[in-house]
Amino acid sequence: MTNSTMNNSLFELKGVSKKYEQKGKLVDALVDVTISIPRSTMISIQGPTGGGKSTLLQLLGALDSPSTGSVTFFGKDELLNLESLDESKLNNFRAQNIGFIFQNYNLIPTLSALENVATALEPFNIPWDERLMKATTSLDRVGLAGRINHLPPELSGGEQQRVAIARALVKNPEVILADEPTGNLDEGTRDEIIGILENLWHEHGLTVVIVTHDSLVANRADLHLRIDQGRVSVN
Amino acid sequence: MFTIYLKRELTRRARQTLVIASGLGVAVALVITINSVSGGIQQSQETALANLYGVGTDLTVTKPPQEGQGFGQRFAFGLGTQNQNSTQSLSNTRLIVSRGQQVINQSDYSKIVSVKGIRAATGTLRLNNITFSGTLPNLTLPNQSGSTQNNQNQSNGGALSGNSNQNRGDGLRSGGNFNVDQFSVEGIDSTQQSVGPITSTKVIDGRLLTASDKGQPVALVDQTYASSNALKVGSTIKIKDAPFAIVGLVAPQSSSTQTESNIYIPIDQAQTLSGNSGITTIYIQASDNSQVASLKSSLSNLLPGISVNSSADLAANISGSLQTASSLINGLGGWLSILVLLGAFLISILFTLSGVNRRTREFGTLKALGWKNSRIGRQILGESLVSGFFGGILGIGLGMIGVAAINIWGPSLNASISRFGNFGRNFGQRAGGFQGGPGGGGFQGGGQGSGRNGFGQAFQNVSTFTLHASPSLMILAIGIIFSLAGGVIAGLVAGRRIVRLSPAEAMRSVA
Repeated sequence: MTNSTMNNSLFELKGVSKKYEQKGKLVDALVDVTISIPRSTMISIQGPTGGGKSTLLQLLGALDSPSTGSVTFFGKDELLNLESLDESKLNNFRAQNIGFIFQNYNLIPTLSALENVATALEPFNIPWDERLMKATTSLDRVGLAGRINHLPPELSGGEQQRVAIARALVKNPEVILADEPTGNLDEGTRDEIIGILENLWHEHGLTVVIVTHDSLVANRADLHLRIDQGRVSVN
Repeated sequence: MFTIYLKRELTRRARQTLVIASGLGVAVALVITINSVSGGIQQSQETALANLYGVGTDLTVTKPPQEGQGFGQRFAFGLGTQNQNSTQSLSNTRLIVSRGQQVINQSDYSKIVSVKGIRAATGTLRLNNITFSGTLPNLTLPNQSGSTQNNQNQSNGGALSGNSNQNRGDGLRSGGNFNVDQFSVEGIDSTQQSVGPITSTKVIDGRLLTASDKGQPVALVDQTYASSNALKVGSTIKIKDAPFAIVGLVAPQSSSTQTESNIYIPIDQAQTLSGNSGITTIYIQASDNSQVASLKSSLSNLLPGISVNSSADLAANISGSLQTASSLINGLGGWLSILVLLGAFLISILFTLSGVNRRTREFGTLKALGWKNSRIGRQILGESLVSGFFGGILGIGLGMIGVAAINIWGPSLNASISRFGNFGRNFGQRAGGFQGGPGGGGFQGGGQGSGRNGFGQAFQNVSTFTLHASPSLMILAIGIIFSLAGGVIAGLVAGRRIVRLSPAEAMRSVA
């Protein structure tokens, strides 16, 4: 990214490297990455397995911290250097700004769809009834108003992913970070999910970052990144 | 959210909840059962002691005989009636101080009961009424000096032998035919109702002795003794040939124990008949329960040769299956409880860890959603605590079933209490010996220190109990607390592991 785009940046990564140990060996997951993620864009990240796609997503979502370099988040009211925040502030950052969507949905199997969505509101000190109301609205937005009391095992893969999207949306985050959101879905369901994400981007101005192997999904984005052996390039 | 999440987890993962609760429940049940049995045994011990001691008695004072001091009783038989077969008819009754005891004189008694710290005291005189009757061959025995050893170890030391640890001893050798009939008589203070042997009895028929009975020839009779001798209220019983009117029948408070003596009479009557002006046992109730030990010390140092015993001393002398069970339950049972509890804690921790490990990605997701570590830790702890609570409830249920099973089974335990410990037991076995008077035959009889009506009665009291285990509220509460503690420990261990993981590490976890 260039300096001309920085005013519109949501994330800025400078010289970010991430190493971790795997089977006794030190692996370079990311190598000297310097990029800017513009606000209100849909970005796809592609690359081979083990190339560092998910690691980049985890650094953006403050699920992990870089070994070196800085990750800066330009929020509406504040600028946060994520690598220097303590655990409590990182929790707040994730709770307020990030909506995660995972390949395996990561729903809590013992909670209903409605309760799963409501878990995203737990860090906010709001009454239970209000949480349920917001969760119901969010599920309605993804077309699951009639399935709110179903447990995840009672829902199809597409429905479970829609519950996950509703959970990501319910707190009105700045950014959606989706890690292979259609990886376990058939083509029809994949198109449904991508349609929902596109709609969020277009209608609500959200920034959507999607890690995907699927070129059809990647082509729906307006910015394409490729990561191979920890190095990022813009297509 | 906390309650809903907790409820969903516990109910929708019911099998895991049940496994954790069961582990703790079994441990709690075992603790409850063992402690209930222990309580039942302790209660039996207390009953046994109360029977010997009397309710409300803190200390007893006696004067045991010195080693080597004889207890042979001299029966002075005259020539009696001789028949053609050269035998003579004999009959003699003696009222003597029970074996193993010496008389404390009135002066010493006054000194003892005036010691500071005594709320109530009473003295009793324990006697044995022994009647020898029958025929003996008119033989000239070698060594017929009439001075046999009184404290022989052997039972059969003379030309004639009688088995004197039974109510009746039958001499069969050399054409002799004689009976030894005996019963125990205790002189009690009829004005003292709050302390003493009579407090461990209840009136079955008639009444107890009262102040107005002082100096009167009236008696209380043990119900069992009365039954076996066809005695009842209104009957007369002869004590050293003197008639006593029976005014009441008594039985021990507990059906599993025995009364101290067969007959109770006013102490002045006992003293007059036996020719002893003192007493043999002083029952003392302390002014303050916490001062029993210091009172015992004061009394022990007061006079030489007296023996002061507390219930704790007597407890140390309990023997029999009751004591074996007590030792077993307090030793092995205690360790077993601890081992099972530790095992249950370990099982609980392992199952909780296993359950939490399977949910690592779930907790990673919650971290990704912004849940604080403390909130996640609280959730894990809450779930574990509730599992522990269920374990406690389950444990109480199982424990009650265990206790009920033991009570239905109703194992029988017996307790032998030696008043003077080993010395008393040895002494009881060695005591014995009848000595012929002038013109009569000298013979020896061995006396065993056991047997309700034997000569050893003064030494041992044998009681039989049916074990009744009853769990106290305290032990039920402790059971719940143990189980909750198990839940807390398991929750803390499992929660700590999750809290220390970064969200990314947790998310990478494969369930």
